[in-house]
Parts: sequence; C-alpha cells; structure tokens
Amino acid sequence: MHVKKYSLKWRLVISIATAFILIWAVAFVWLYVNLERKMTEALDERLSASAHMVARLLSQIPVTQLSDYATPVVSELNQQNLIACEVSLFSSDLVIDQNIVARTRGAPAALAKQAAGFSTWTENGVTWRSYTLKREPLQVVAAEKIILRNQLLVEILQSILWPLILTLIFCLGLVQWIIKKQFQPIEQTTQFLKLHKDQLQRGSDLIHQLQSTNVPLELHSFIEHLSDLVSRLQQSLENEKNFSAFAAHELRSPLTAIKVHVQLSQMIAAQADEPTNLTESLSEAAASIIRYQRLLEQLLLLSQTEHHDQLQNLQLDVAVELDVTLKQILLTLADRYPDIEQRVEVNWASLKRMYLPEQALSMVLLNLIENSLKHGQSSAPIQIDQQHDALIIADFGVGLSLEELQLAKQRFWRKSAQNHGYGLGLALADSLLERNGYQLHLEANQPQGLRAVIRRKPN
Amino acid sequence: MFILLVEDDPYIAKSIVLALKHLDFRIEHVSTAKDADYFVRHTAVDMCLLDLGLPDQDGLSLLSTWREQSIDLPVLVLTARNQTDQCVKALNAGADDYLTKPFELVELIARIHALGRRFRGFASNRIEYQDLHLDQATQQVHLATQALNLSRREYALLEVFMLHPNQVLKNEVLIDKIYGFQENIESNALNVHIFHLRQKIGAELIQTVRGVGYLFNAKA
Repeated sequence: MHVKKYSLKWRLVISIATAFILIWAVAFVWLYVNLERKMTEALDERLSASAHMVARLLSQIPVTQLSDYATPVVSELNQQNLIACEVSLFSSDLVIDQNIVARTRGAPAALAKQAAGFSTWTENGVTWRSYTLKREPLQVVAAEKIILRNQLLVEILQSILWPLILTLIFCLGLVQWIIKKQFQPIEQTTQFLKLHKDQLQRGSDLIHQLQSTNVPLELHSFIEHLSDLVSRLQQSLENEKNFSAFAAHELRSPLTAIKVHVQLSQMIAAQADEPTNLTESLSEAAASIIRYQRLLEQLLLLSQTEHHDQLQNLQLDVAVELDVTLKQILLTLADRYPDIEQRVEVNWASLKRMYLPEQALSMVLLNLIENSLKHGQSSAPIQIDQQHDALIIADFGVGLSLEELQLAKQRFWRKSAQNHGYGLGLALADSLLERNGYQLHLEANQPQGLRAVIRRKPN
Repeated sequence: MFILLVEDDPYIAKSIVLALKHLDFRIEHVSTAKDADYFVRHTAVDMCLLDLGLPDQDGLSLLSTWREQSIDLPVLVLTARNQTDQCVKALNAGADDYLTKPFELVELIARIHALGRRFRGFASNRIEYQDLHLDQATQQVHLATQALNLSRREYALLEVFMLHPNQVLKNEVLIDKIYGFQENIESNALNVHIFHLRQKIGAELIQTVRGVGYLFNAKA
C-alpha cells in the first residue's frame, strides 16, 4: 500500500477516478435540481388540469341541481395516494362548508380555505400542494401530498443513479485496466533495472539491453539521458579509482625513498656511534615518516571506501572470528603501547563472529582501540565486550560532550589542536562499517568516558 | 648476494641501492622491463626486486614471461599497490614474496635473506662447513669460535663460495657476483681477494681450477 501511494500508475488511477466522481457528482446535482424544477412544474400542471377538468365537467350540471345536495358526496374511489379534490359552491366573497358539493376521501379539511392558484401548506403534519380554481359558482381545489412528489423524485433519481454508479465503476475499472496495460513497458523497465541493479558497473551494456526492450516513445529521451548519466558516472568512478591508485603510487613512492634513506642513516649512525643529537633527530624524522605514512594510508583507504559500491562491498557470507582479529590488533598496537595488556581488558568469552571483511574489521578495531588509548586517559582499563551482537569498546577517560559526539565522526575533527592524530580514525571506522552493513554509535560511558558500539544495521 | 633492482622511480632506486650496498649486497639497478630481462638472461643474478609499474611493460607480465620460460630466479615484488587482489595476482604470476611501499628497510633485508634461504633450501641464515660459520643476517663469519674480520668483497666472495659448495665457479661469475657493472676492476683483483680470504679461512677450502676458476671444497 505504501508503494502504491507513490506509484505513478496509482496516482493516475486515483486522479482520474476523483475527476470522474466529481464530474458525475456535479452532473447528478445539476440533474437533480433540473428534475425537481421540471417535476414541480409538471405536477403543478397536473393539479391545475385536474381542477379545470372537474370544473368543466361540473359546469355542465345546473347550479340548482348541485345545491340540492344537503350533504357532500364523498367519492368511494379515493385512494390515499391519489389527488385529493373538493368541489364547493362559490359565492363571490364567501365559501361555506355546507356548500361543499363533493370531496374525495381523506382530503384535508383545509382545502376550501386555500386562496386561488397554487399554494403549499401543512395540515396535521402532512404537507400539501394544492391548486384552487374559482369559477363562479364553483370552487374546485385539487391537492396532493408533497411526500408523494418527493417519493416520485427519489424513484426517478434512483433509476438514474444506479446506472450512473455502475457506469462509473465500470469506467474506473476500464481506466485502471488501460493504465495498467499502458504502463506495462514502464513496469518492465523497472523490473529490468531491479533485476540488474547489481550490474550497474556495466551501465552502458545495461542501458543498451534496456533500449532493445519495449520502451515507450516518451521514455526514449529519459533512457538516453539515463544512459549518458550512467556512462558519465562510470567514467567518474573509474577516474576516482584511477586517481586513488595513482595518488597511492605517487604519494607512496617518495615516502618510500625518504623512509629508506632515514632508516639507512639511522643504521649508519648507530654503527658509527654518532652523537646523540643526530640519532635523536633521525628518530624524530623516522617517527614523522610513520605518522605521515599512517595519515596517507588512512586517507587512501577512506577515499577507496567512499567510492566503493556499497552493494559490491557488502559481503554477507564473510565471517570473521572477532577474537582472532582482536588478538592480532592488540599485538600490532603493543609496538606503540607496550603496556597495552594492562590498559585493555577484553571479555574474550563474549566475542563471536562478525560479518565483514577482515581487513575492514582490523582497521575499525585498530582505530577505535587506538582512539581510546590516545584520548581516554584514565587509570581504568578500556573494556571490550560483545553484548547481544553489539561490540562495545568503552573507555573511562574524559569522554565527549553531546555536541562533540555529533561531530566526532566527521573527517578531520579533533577535540583539541593539541591532540595527537588527524581526526580520521573514527570517520574511517564509521565509513568502513557503513559500507559493510554495520553502524557505529558513539555515546557517553557511565560514569565517564566514551562508548563505541558497533551493531548490524536492521535489515 | 647479487640482487637486481627493477625500479622506475630513481629516488626509491637510489635509496634501496645505497641501503643494500651499505649492507654489502651486490646490487644493480635497471628501470625498464627490457633491461631487467636482459640482465636476468645474461648475468648470474641471485634475486630480483621487482617493481610492478614499469614504463615499458607491467612487472607482472614480465614475471609471467620469466616463469613461462622456466627462469626460476627468486623474485620479491615491491609495489605501491596494496590491495589484496594485487598481492594475489603477483603471487599467482610467480612472485616469491610481496612487499608494499613504503616498507621498513629491516623488513626488506629480512625478506631478502628469507627468500634467498628458502630458495637454496636452507632453514636458517647460518651457513656452516666444518668450523666455518657464516651468518647472512649479521654478515659475521666465525672460524671455530673466532670472529673473522673480512672486507666487504671478501665476505661477498665467501658467501658465493659457501652458497655453491663443490662447484667450479668461473672467474667471470665470481666477478659478476661481487662487483658492480660500472666498477673498474683491476685484472688481478679477484686473485688478491682470494689470496686474502685463503689466509683468513685456510688455503685448503678454496681450490684453484686452472684456466676456469675456483672451487669451494666443502669436503676438505
């Protein structure tokens, strides 16, 4: 339902249906108003004609003969729904009940009191419409119940409405069928793209295949532009990839030369028993090279990660034993942090498998643990634990404020200029996890410090 | 050990050449695949350090050609390409080891020794014949318990002999192994080095094969 809400096809069906219903409704209201007016006119004419007919018939009977009736003749033929009629003798300015010549059964008592012409009135809760014809010496009043008129109107409208509703339903069905039929090429295109979404790296071929399918004329231009866009995107990604590869090569090459020269100088200085300040200077140079190398590697990895296709990178079948990788990382970090065994406390029994490439997991763990080692200056050891498939790395250092937590995963963000590092570690860890179906959540640790929680993205 | 460095970046090449020369390796540098191929086919190279991004041909393709032609020279690939698939490609193409730039000099040296050792079927860096012990990693030579003070050339010469025991080694091969191609060599330089070496390790270990070269008599 949610999908249909945003589907062009369904929007079109709903729009056309709404338009149809509105037009039909307006037409119906118009018909109703017109019909009611015409029916009132016709029925009024019928009343008038009835009164005139009775008057003409009775005018053939001499007045003296009519006045002989002591009691009015009540027609036995009267039925509840027929026109009520009353004939009375009429003298120029008064009508007397005793002068009633004839009246139909069930006719209202107030018939004789109506003014000449048409009038609508109510007696005992029943509304009547009457026509009074005064032609001396006779007064003829014909009347009928308004409710009967309304019933007639409703019956007529119903007889019109049902075909109208059925036609509307049929039209809507027809519209939906036509739209579905005409949208079939678009749906086929969508299905085709869905099925081949993992082949977007061969975008040009894909679009070529797509063009050979039954694509409507209106979509040709769109497909052509899409093809062009995909080609450009491919080219752009290729350029990015090449750029990364060239950058990697071009940046690593001079670094290699510098590093070898410095290390050779260190070696020569050590063998020649050179003065301490030269040895120290070379050690500083070597340390700077290592920092530069780490920055370079992290930048290149971040660039590669960000330009990598998420679907291509997502390897759900890759399972890594967390304890094995973590041991390796702690061993690597021991070179830089000889007291790491005292500074990191691991709940080895809790560690399970994680589903991402080992290289990515290694980089994530290395960055998160080193981040805690560098910034979480505390006597309490860093704790690593896995709870309900969430890997937690918690330190008890100064931690980050709420605002800083929002910024911590941004590239090149550092809490303070005095801090070591480049502000890339958390950004890289976040990016690597994101690309591999995991999420990195940073929060305040209790009672203090920072807690990094890694868990799988829902679905 | 005679190492051929195939590297198109002159700065990297210079640094590696300086470092390995300082460590008494005999090293030659070429910057194209064509020159590398020539050297490998016409000289007694012990090992090749191969960069993959060469200007005239990809290093992997050159390596594949060597392997197809049964040139079983130990090859250590040095490259800036650090992706796993690149490493796998290089190893599948016939590389014996793989090192990503920028590397640690000590790691490069350790890998050179390890590769040389593995290639010759040795378990350690130490080569021993009777009382004579040569440690390739530390480049120290002991005769019984006494440390010998050998010059760079003498060490290189002894290493070649001990790596090829009981084989007649031609003068040209020995010169190739211990001298660079652009070095000026006196006509009797090899004989002088042999003379000094015999004085230090004992004359009976190195025998002269007249008109051909020398033989390291491991049974002596």
